[in-house]
Amino acid sequence: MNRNVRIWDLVLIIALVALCTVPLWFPSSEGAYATVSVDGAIVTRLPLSEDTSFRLEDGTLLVVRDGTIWVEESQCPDGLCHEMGRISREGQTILCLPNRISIVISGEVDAYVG
Amino acid sequence: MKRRLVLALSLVFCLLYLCSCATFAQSLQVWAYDTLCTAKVWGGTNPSSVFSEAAAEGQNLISPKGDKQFYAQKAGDSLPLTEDLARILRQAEVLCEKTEGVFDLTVAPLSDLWDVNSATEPPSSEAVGEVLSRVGWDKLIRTDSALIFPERGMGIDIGSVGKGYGADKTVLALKAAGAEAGVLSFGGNVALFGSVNGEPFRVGIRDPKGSAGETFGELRLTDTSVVTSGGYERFFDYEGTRYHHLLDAKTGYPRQSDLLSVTVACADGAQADLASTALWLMGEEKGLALYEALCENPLFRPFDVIFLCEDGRVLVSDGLKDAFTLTSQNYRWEKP
Repeated sequence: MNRNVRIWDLVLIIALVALCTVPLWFPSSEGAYATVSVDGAIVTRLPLSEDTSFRLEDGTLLVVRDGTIWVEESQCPDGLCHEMGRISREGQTILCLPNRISIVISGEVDAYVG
Repeated sequence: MKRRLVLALSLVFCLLYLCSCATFAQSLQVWAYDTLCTAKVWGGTNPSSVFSEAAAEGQNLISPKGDKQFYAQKAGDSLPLTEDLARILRQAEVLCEKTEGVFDLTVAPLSDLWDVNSATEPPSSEAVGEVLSRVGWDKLIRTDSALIFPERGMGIDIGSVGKGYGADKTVLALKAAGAEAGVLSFGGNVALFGSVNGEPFRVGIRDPKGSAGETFGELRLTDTSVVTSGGYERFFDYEGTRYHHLLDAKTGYPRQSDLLSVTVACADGAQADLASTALWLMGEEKGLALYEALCENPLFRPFDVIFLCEDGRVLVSDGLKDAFTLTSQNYRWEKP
């Protein structure tokens, strides 16, 4: 009996911890997009809501799928950008220093003018 | 004992969970100024009714009936001036002088003649010439308490200034009701106050050449108003020529400008609207000179500008350098 209670306590605690991470499971809202820049100049902005792939001039291949973006192929020597994996939430970035490529996720703006 | 522990832990987790979600914003909207006015407001007592009431009240800048225009029904008719209206008109007067009459609030009868929103062809040159004779700030007599129109059919239009003014008033009312932060958009005139989780708000500036929702830049700001003017907003095409709504009060025809748009950020929403229109009308070179002159003028509050030039250059004044991000590859940010 005593042992039972402890197991269920544990289950409950784990369930609650898991619940706390719910917001982290889902990729960003539909309005999120990835801004891809080379050497500080914006090359393209890819909405994360559309599955697509994009090849940069230097051959780097970016893939957008299921609200996430990642570097599929890279020409850089260290391959770190490939290892950075998939990003999907606002503020996350992938950097490829040798090729001076940056991918930044930004969300919907609060308001529009113009 | 165990159960109590579980209960306590559950409570802690629930609290942590709720805290992580921060305060929720209320989305509000009301129809005023012949446009949809929307807001997202954080905190405050009864923000919904405060918002609707204040937004409606701001419409009474020139009359208690919420008129956007004033027309003289006979020679000598006068418009009584409130303190707010007098301040706005003093600024408009400066802009009229400095633009040599290209920007002029008395353009109202001309705007009505062109009626860009519903017209399909331009008015005849005779009609433009006739109406032009009833345009001109210098014809008016301004006393401390009234603006006197010497001729029947003369008038002023404060439609767009009114939106900036009304948004400012609404921000004050929301703050007084205890709201911590808010984003207001009165038909494209944006007013921001406070912040959520210490982050500034993000305002996207539309790309005049892009499709709806496309931006050329983004601003991270708060406690200011942001207004953009450009000839791309309202127009009609006739026989291959585009006629937009920003008229040259000197010629009576839509003004040609080498600027795609001018964005102004200023704590005073009415000033932001006046300035963005006047600067756009002047074009890049004269516009920059005008901006510098206005920065020195005690009647104007400090403000910042973003010029989007026809050839793709983006000019950003010093105060917005850190707040601005370019978001389109079709333009380039020229840093002097």
